[in-house]
Amino acid sequence: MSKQVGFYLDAEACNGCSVCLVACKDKYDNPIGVNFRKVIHHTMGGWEQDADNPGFLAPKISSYSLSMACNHCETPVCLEACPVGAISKREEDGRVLIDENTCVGCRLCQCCPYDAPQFNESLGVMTMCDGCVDLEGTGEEQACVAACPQRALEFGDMEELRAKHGNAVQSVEPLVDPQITQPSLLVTPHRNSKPMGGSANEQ
Amino acid sequence: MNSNETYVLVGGGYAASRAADCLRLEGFEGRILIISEEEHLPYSRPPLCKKGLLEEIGIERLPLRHADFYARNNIELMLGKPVKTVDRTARRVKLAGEISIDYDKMLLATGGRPRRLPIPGGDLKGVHVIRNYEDMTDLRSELKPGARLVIIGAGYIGLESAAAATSMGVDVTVVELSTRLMSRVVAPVTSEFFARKHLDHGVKLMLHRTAQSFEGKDGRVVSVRLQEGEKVSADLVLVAAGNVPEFRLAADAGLECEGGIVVDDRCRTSDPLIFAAGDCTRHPSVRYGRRIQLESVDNALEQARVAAAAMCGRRDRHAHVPWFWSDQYDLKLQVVGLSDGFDEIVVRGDPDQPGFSVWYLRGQEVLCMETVNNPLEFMQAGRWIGAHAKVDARILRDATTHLDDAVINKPRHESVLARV
Ligand SMILES: Cc1cc2nc3c(=O)[nH]c(=O)nc-3n(C[C@H](O)[C@H](O)[C@H](O)COP(=O)(O)OP(=O)(O)OC[C@H]3O[C@@H](n4cnc5c(N)ncnc54)[C@H](O)[C@@H]3O)c2cc1C
Repeated sequence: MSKQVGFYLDAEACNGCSVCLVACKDKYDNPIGVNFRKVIHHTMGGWEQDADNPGFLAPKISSYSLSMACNHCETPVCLEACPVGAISKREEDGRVLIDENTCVGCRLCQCCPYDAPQFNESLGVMTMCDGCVDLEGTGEEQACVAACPQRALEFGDMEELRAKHGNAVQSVEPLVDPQITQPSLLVTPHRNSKPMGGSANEQ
Repeated sequence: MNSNETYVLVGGGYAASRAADCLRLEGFEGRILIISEEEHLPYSRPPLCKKGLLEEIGIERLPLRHADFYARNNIELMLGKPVKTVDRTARRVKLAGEISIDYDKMLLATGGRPRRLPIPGGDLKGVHVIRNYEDMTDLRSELKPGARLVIIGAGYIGLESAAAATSMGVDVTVVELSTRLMSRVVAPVTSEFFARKHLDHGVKLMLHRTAQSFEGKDGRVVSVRLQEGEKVSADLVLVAAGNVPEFRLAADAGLECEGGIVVDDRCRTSDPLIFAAGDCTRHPSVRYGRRIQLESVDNALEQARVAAAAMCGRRDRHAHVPWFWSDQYDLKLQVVGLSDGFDEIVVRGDPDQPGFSVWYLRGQEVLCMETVNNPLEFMQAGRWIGAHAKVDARILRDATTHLDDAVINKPRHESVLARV
């Protein structure tokens, strides 16, 4: 398999501060409402039998945050949905890129289950995280990665990220089934989260 | 805004899905309910006759928006529920099982259905059409290398299916009424270019022929009989002879219809509370000065945007430059504008090679352009058509010139393609 770059997120470490989002927005000078990166605050839980007080119910509620951008998927649905061929997957590193010169702004790429493509009204085209492709070869970190005060984000070769973070998974709640697009994403789940398929509450 | 109101969107395709999205973008805070007879979230149809025939594509790869989008925007979906009747006096729609739903405003976005040919044998096993996901899986399950597939109709869907099927080793014959491929939508040079490509890939083309009947044995199709006297053996038939707008609900409810639901340039029907968008409509073209019917993704999206604005009481007109595309083999045909009323055709580039473009001019104004694998010129043409740019045909014709040099009146740079 050819090289594939992607993001790693340590959801244990992410505290949802959104500095990543701001750093990205600042770098790309994106208008209000256009965010290449997002922070999802996922809350779950409910009433559970209280072990200390049999017969009583206690609220067991927990939450965690997930910082998400384009996952440069291996089988991206945005690319297939684009009627004009403006989205491509770069041979050398698997980045999914939008060509703003040929995008007609029809927004069909919003079929992305991660909500990565963002419509820029003033440009009339879709825009998206390009993994800070401009920094290639400089040794500098991606804007979001560099900004994270928790050091919860990494970007790089998926093989290397997988080797480094053995316990990481490809998806956690509330993200969609990773089989759909094969995201280049690795997440060390928050202790309260379950990998795809079950919710913490169901146990 | 109107937070106590219920807007019902009938249909589960591009138009309904985009209208729901645009209603929220317009700031509508009331209830939005999409009612579709299909079981699936609104999904993408173009792959059904392209990649979807070549390989198994699960429906989960095709939604226009994922479930999370509808949930986030508080858009309700009732799937697998055909609307049976519309009572305009009571402002109520009725579904099967005595379910009825009251609306304050309604959008009809019921799309179209494949045209069935009025010839004997259409209901034999092995005779297919493609409009929805199940049609595709049915056809794909029968496409085997060596099987003989006869496709009736050399329009976009017929030819895209031909390209997919021949790539799988299916023996494909296309029967077409006209003397050339895609005759309603492209110029003769482009038809010829695609005819050569299909022949190179082993597709047999039978042009200027009319299917007379499908002949069967034990209830299954075995051949197609042509009016010209020939008989073509077939294990499978795909009827790709165009679409008929689905407007029965509207007609039954007494809305003005004319081979489709008649709407104005704001997508309003003859009932001020009912709007319509997409394949099911007939609309006046502000740009082209007559009533037209377009069956395209672009048109469904654009009309949905305009309809949502009108439903929210905002004035916006359906005036944008329409565009179309078709994927056959590794060729992407792109068309922008409508060619009606042209008086000159200019071909730029070698019409034997992908990259050439065909320009339709009236006087010196560009009306329409089609091209193969040349997205940058397509974009430029769209801008020019939107700006009523005039060009010098001599410069345009010479592919060694820079395209920008062909324009005479430098148009304002404006983005005219599907702006949402
Ligand atoms: C195989 C195929 C390939 C295509 N390829 C292209 C292409 O490459 N480029 C392009 O521009 N266009 C293409 N098209 C055309 C494009 O798909 C249509 O123009 C587009 O789907 C129109 O959108 P719509 O919302 O108006 O209708 P549709 O997408 O047809 O949606 C209508 C929906 O309404 C539902 N409905 C109908 N009646 C009722 C009722 N009474 N109650 C409830 N629901 C109802 C239908 O089941 C359907 O879900 C293709 C079409 C097909 C079939």
